[in-house]
Amino acid sequence: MTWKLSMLAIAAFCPLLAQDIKMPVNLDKLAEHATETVDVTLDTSMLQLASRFLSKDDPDEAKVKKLVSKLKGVYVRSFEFDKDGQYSKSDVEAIRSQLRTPDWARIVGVKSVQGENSEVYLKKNGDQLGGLVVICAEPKELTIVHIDGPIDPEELSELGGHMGIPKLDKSKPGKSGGSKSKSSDEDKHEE
Amino acid sequence: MVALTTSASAQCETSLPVFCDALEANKAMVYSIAWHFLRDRAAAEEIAQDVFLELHRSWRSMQSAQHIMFWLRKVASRRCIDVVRRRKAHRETGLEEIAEPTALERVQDTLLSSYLERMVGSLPEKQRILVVLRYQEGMEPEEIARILDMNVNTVKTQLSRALDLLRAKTAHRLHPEWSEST
Amino acid sequence: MTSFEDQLRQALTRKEPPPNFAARVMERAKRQESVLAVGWQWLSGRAWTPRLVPVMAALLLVGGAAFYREHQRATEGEAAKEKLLVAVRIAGSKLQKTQQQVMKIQFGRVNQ
Repeated sequence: MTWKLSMLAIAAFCPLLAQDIKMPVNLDKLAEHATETVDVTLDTSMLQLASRFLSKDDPDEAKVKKLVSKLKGVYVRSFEFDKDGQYSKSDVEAIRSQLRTPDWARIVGVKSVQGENSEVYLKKNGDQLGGLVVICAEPKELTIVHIDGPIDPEELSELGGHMGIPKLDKSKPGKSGGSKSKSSDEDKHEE
Repeated sequence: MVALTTSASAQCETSLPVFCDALEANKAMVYSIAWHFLRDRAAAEEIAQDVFLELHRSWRSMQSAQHIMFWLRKVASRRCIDVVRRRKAHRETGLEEIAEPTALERVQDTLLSSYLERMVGSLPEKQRILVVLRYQEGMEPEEIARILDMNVNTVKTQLSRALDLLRAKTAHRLHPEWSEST
Repeated sequence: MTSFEDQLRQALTRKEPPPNFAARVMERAKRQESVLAVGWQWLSGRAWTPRLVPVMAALLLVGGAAFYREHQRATEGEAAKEKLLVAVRIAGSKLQKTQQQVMKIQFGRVNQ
């Protein structure tokens, strides 16, 4: 009898294990007001399928193939609006609240005077990284990226200059955007 | 029923006079969409040929000259976007990253038109096709939205952004004294 | 339309394709037609003998279904791949932007 109860408990828990961070349902209604929406939900099986179609001969696709080889899921919700105020803090709080657990650590939090806020969270899995969440909240854009699985943010950054990702010019920190940024000591953390 | 003129050009001595007429009437349009999008003559010609061959295969479903034009614009636009996405390089060069023209290109760009053409060719693919359909074909945003299966507001927003980008990049050409004075 | 848009319109005037473009298309179209015609002739000449009809029909069904399944899989796979590339592009861009913002702050503090 005990083993049956254990199996039931595991079966009940499994859906939660599938994706420990859930994209809030209330985000879907933002699509109604958005001029552009990106909605990507790729679980393990879809990632494997996608990976099979990535070319080993294309250097960019080969890098992505390597990046995603151990991932469990990739989830993106991105909304662009034509005016400010089309989403609320509570929309973002619905995902932030899931990240206030011992497993997740906020490693970067940047606020700009123009209202462009960016946060990066990493999930600890023993000695390894088990996931990444990026939240970019701007006046006319909200983007949430969740990568579930062992991901190296450096590898992702190395795609800069390829695939439409701007190249990070480390000699000129002011080059892109041009907006004034401030962050509190509390928020900014060195890696 | 295809309502086309039946006057065939001297080149079209075939058993397909009506298709031939459609080809003559629309070849510049299709080729130009591909050329302005890809800035590659060989690729533009290949795409244009493929589009017309597909038209030939789908000929039975054509209803009028207007339908043919709509169909050609739609298929040509989609083919161009597909080609760019499938290309091995994959790199999308933003306008900010476009290198300054070489001396030879500066000579060739003596007309603002050539320079503008080049700048259009470096827009992100979605904005690029919108600009080509709007300013080459003179289409209204509503028509463009139907062709590309996009929301009309998105078309307008993206067009507006594309124009802002192009204006910013061509400002020094329109007002050279601005760059000389800095 | 503004004068800038007029200039854009001038820049994007339609261009004529190479001189023998139409002839090349017509040649390929005729070839395409004759391939289809030969195919139909073969099929109509042979396939409609009574013994072969059920065999052909069964082969077409099985082959067609397998082809369709494979085509569906390939379509799904390509769609998933495109979504993945979009996701990676967005994730990479946002991380880059955040990195830039952090570097700007660090740069500003070093210079104070």
